[in-house]
Amino acid sequence: MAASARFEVDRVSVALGGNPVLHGVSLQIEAGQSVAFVGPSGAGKTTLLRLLGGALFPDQGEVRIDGRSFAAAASSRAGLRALRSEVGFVHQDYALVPNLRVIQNVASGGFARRGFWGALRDLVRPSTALQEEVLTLLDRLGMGDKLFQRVDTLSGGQQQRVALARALFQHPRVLLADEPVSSVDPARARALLELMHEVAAERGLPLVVSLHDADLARDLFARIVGLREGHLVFDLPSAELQDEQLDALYALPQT
Amino acid sequence: MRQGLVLLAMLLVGMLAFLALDLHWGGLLPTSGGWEILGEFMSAAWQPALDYETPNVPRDWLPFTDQLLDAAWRTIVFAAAALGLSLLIGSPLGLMASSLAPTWLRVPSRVLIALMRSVHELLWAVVFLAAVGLNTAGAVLALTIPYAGTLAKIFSEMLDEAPQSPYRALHLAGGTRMQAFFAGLLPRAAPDMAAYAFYRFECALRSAAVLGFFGYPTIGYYLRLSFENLHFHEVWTWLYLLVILVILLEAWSSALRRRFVA
Amino acid sequence: MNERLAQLYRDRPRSRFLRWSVAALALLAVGVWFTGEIAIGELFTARRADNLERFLTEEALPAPMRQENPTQSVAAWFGEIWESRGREGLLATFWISWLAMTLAGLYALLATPLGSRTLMAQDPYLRPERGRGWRALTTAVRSFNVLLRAVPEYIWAFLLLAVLGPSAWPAVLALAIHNAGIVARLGSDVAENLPPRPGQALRQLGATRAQTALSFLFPQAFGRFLLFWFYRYETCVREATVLGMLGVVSLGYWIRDANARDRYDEMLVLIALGALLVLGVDFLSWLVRGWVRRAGIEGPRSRGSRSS
Repeated sequence: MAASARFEVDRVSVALGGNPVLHGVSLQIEAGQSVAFVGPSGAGKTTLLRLLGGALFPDQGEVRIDGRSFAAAASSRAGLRALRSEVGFVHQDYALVPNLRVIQNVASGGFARRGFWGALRDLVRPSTALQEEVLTLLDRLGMGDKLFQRVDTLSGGQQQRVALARALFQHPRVLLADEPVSSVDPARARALLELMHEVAAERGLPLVVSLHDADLARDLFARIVGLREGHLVFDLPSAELQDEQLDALYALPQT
Repeated sequence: MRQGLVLLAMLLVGMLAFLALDLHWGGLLPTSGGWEILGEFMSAAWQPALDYETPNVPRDWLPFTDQLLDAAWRTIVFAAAALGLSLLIGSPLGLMASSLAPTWLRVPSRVLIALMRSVHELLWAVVFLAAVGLNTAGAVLALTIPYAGTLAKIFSEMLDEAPQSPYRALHLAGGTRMQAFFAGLLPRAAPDMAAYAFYRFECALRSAAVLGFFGYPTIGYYLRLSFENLHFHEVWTWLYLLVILVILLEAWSSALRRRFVA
Repeated sequence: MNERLAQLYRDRPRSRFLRWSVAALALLAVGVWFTGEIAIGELFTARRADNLERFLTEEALPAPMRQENPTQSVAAWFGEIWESRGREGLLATFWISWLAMTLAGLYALLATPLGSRTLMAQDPYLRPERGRGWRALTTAVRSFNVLLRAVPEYIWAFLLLAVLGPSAWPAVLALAIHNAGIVARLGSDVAENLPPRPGQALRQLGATRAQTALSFLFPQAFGRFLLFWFYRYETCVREATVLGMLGVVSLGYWIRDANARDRYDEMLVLIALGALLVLGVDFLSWLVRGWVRRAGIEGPRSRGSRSS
């Protein structure tokens, strides 16, 4: 199995609580590609990411990783878990446990490879091999020294990198991030996104990110997907994207 | 405005209770014998006994100060045994009653918790006394039943109120529900749960002391004897002993809480 | 690598106090079973087993069920208990606990602002420093609350009964005193944990301390306070049942009476009635809490001030 995965989103529609959120969206993400979803709030960016991560199943259409769909895998719990574990997801609120140490949070990304008792051991008394692996990973993200610190003593940007480390520790075949820089200042946002690019590229992972800042997306991502009110508006290499298209995407509705 | 109405309604029901219970303000005044008892009792507050007030104590009793320590120790033993057992039973039961559990497990667990809690520990003690006679393990069990139920109830609420996002994230990353629970949800709720368990330990100390009224050798046993013999100086010593135990425990728990939460 | 790991591990933040506390508690919880104070073995002796068997197969069965020629049906037997003792005891239990909690609530209304360290300052909500006088006041109020609740209600009732003579007062006052200490402490905690912004705004507009208490502290803390009040009320009903065993005419009085006459069947029926009352009050409290939440007066959640 290749280290990197290929996504197919095939005419997908989703309604949440009776409200349609996505209408017949189709797109493909090739192995190793980096893509940003942009669009105004409520466009369906997060929903699309959750579909890719298998957190949500489409009402119509299919989402496939290398030809295997989440809906089909859901027939067995273990099958669904295995498929989900191939997708690393960095959540908008980080979804870390603040009163645990960094190493415990990162190690919990690897639970899909562990049984129940193994997971418990990783939490309570991590093996030296595990400590070394997490330390190497954290060093790559520039915060190895925080290995044994409690997460709630870290800054927002540092917590963000712990969340990234946890997703990477999953040994995923694709990396998703939902609004990863919504709560850091512009300079740090750019540095963080560049770091995500680098580590994704080193591992040959596709990087799929939702961003509200379209300019940042255009600077850093090769491919931009514009969403508005649940429709796919454009899907272009960033070099070909025109300012007018972005303005139209974010334009306030005519009343 | 609405808050005022709620307060007013509560007060009105309170007044209704006053009438229904056939209470009179005069009842708040001590009876003629009561004045005497009250006077002696209150004046004894400043001179707690340091020895038995009368030399005629049963021959097998310990010297007074040893008796104090012994009773305090037994009170702690009862409370600690009951609370430890309650944690052992209440923690899994709390998980089973939380919204993480499937309906077929959650509903019977909640019913069981309500039943365990619906009878007071002293009534359980009375039932155990009637069923097997005076036995210390029975007393510990009597404390354990309602305490385990209460711990389970509050634990299940704390698990439900704790932020769920780490739990969901770990489940989404391919972890099983149990893995996600132990790594993502339990640590999050643990400080609150520990603080509550500490508070319940304090309650258990009081309950264990009161169990003495039924013949178990805790603080309440000697307190009752001293009071019935009108040895008020001794009564105060026993009261102070109980208060000191509770205050020490509270100081310990708040010192811990400062480190936990900060 | 290992060197560095070891160094990082040594430098990790940790609390020795926390570790020792956990170890001490664990040792206590396990150790007490080996002190010999808890006679588990003795629980399984033949004498105990005989007692238990007799209790379960004879004494606990309703009288008509164990008589050869019952003089009355089980329903009539139950009806008699209900008419003569059950209903009266049930109502008395309910009223005693409500009146006690009303009194405790009134005390808390007074003690909540006085024990709140954010309000009892030189310049509440605007400047954090507190003079010695204010500090002494809150410490005094909070210590008094500790004193009130440190003595169990059962002991309060026992003492008050000797002083006041038999009426419902000793039970009412005992419950009121003990719960006043608890409810006041919870109230102060809720008040201190309120987000201070609205209070600051009021103070900047020139509101006095009393005005700030009336238009910020009370309305904001009310919902959560009500939740705690009802949690305590549930507990109070249980306690009111038990206090009867000291001679007040709540359910406990008749429970002790049946116990003293070795009528364990009656005793169990009365205990079950008490349990039903508690379940009913649990349900009532659940309804009220739902209403408080829906009405949106719950207010902000505060940490660590829960009691039940």
